[in-house]
Amino acid sequence: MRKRSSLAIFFIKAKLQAVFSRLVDYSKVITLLNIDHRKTNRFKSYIIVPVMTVFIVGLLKYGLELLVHQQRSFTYIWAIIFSAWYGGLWGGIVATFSAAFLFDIFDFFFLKPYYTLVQRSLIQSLETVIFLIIGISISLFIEVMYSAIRSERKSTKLIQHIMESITDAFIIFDRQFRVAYINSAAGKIIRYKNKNDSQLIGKTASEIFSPEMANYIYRRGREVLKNKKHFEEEFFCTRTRRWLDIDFYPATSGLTVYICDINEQKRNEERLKKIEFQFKRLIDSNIIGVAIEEISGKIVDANDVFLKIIGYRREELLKLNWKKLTSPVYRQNDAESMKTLFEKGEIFPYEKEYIRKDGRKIPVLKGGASLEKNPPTAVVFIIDISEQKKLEQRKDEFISMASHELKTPLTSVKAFSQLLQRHAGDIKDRKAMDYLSRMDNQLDRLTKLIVDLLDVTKIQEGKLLFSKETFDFDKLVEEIIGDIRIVSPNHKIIRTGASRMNVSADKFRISQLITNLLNNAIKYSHAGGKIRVVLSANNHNVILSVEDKGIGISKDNQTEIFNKFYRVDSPSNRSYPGLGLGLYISSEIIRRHHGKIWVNSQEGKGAIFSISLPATTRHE
Amino acid sequence: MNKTIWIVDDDNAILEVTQIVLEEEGYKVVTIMSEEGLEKMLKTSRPDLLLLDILLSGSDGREIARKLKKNKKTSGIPIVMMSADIRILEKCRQTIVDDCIRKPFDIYDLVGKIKNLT
Repeated sequence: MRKRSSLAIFFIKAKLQAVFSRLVDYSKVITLLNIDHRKTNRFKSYIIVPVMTVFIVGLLKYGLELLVHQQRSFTYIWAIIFSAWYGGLWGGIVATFSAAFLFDIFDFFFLKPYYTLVQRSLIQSLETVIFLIIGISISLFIEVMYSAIRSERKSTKLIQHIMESITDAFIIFDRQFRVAYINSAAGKIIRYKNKNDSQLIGKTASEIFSPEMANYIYRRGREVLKNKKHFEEEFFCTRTRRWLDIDFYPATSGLTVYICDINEQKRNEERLKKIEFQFKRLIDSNIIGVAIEEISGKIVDANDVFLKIIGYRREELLKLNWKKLTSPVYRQNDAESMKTLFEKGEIFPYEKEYIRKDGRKIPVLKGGASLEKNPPTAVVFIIDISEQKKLEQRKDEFISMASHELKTPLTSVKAFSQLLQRHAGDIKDRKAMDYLSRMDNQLDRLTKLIVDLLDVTKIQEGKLLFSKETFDFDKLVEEIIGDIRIVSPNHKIIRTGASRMNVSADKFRISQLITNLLNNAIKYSHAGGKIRVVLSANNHNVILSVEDKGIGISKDNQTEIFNKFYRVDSPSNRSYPGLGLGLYISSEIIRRHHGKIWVNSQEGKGAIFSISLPATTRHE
Repeated sequence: MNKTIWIVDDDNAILEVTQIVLEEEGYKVVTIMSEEGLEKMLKTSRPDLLLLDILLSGSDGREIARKLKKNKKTSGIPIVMMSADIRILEKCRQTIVDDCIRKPFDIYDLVGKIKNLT
């Protein structure tokens, strides 16, 4: 991979390098000649200069005739050549005719006036005609030569312009390794020995460049000149500490050297190699499964861990399709996730199951990032989570067991306390009855805590199961209020309004949710406080609000209270019992029922917690 | 004549307290600690109601209930299931058993449910 300033330059360079060496020889001659005069003044070029030249030459001829006798045509030819060069074809023609005319004037009018009346001889007329033909021919020849030189000059200028504009170095040496041409970029790439060296043409390589560079050019240049073959090589210049790509082209008159700075490219290559190595190392490290997948379902590549997870051999890889490898339950979710991956460029780990070759299902965590757009390809990372799943299952079993084990002694303790309470009632021991009633309340609290903890564990694992049934919402609310009135006789619970709706939901969980809201209202309001339960409905939802006149919730806390383990710090520093799970569980229940829960409150002025739930049918 | 209630649970304390509660209500109570014990008892007699725990050591109360309800000889016995797991309990009620009660229970609840079925 070679860097070029542009493709055009690369093309021109190859084509013109031969032309160039030839031009070098001409250029010295051409630079001496001024060819731009014609454009500036046509009248001067075509008329004045030719006439004046002829006139001056005429004067000189006749002035010097006594000393040097010359044929008139021979004398005037110099005037014609000059005029033709200066004024082109027309300049030459004007000079030719002027010379013929002047010749007549000088010869017949001024100097020998007595001949003027004498008719010219035929020979003399013929002489004039021949003179005119010669003059025009010379003009024509000069013009052709002039055009040729001008076009050469133009192309030289163009090439020089190109060479000056490119960022690569371009140097032409003659056979003695003297510089015939060097472009300005060369100084930047090779760095001259003497920074301010402006006159480089004609100097040898060792005069301009560092010894290292000069020696290198001599050595390789001689080889190239000897073999007459193009040679290219990458070269590290220790002086500039940069990588260069150098081309040597043999030419008839010397050597053309083209130098391109490829340091950046070299560094990129190295960086790329490093990245490639890192990528390969990542894949081959065989810590997690890695595969390259196409949107079509094709698995382009995979590491050993991936193959081990899916239980196939490498040779079978190309026949596989990740869509078909996915167990049917997860297929839709997997397809959607992969679609997100290709659209958004990445996907965070999600769970799925692969079907192994032996038919076993294996739970995995899969995440990935897109690599290419055409065709859409992605690298995916797969972690076998069978062990975690087993552990999770064990944890579930443990929690379920633990909650059972905790509830078992609680069952007998509660029953005994109730028996005791009854017994105290029989013997009319009021104190004992009161104490035992309090104990019974605390046992209920303990039971609720155990239930809540179990619920939270289930929510975290997404295992809070719901079984839907259709029931009368108002009736359920009325039942719950009835129960709570028995437990908390000190608070006045007032129900207003009605939804007159049925809902299709998990009755147990919904009653847990409503109980939660009511218990909170009781917990956070003063004894004897009023609690209003308002029922209403719109077309699709039942709405329930529980309003208390308790301590309220500050604005800052209002968004936080639905978070797990979050508990409001009360302004009076009074602590309220509980784990901070009730509203978290409630919001999870409502979320899973596609409903909403929200709060309106002002600190110190009570709170209104509201829920809305999708309703099914209306009843009267 | 006093009604006989069999209680099957693997926890001694629960058996004891339930026995006391029900005996105070005038029931004749037999406590059984395992499925084997229950089977042995069924060979000779029948209870008027069976109070059955779901999570028994070594066996599943739901399975026992299902078997009893399938068997013609025992299908007439009312069964009340007990469990600490309300969800399992809900499912049981919908299918096989006559009533269920959540642990820890209120003794008045328990008595009420049993009275309804005997």
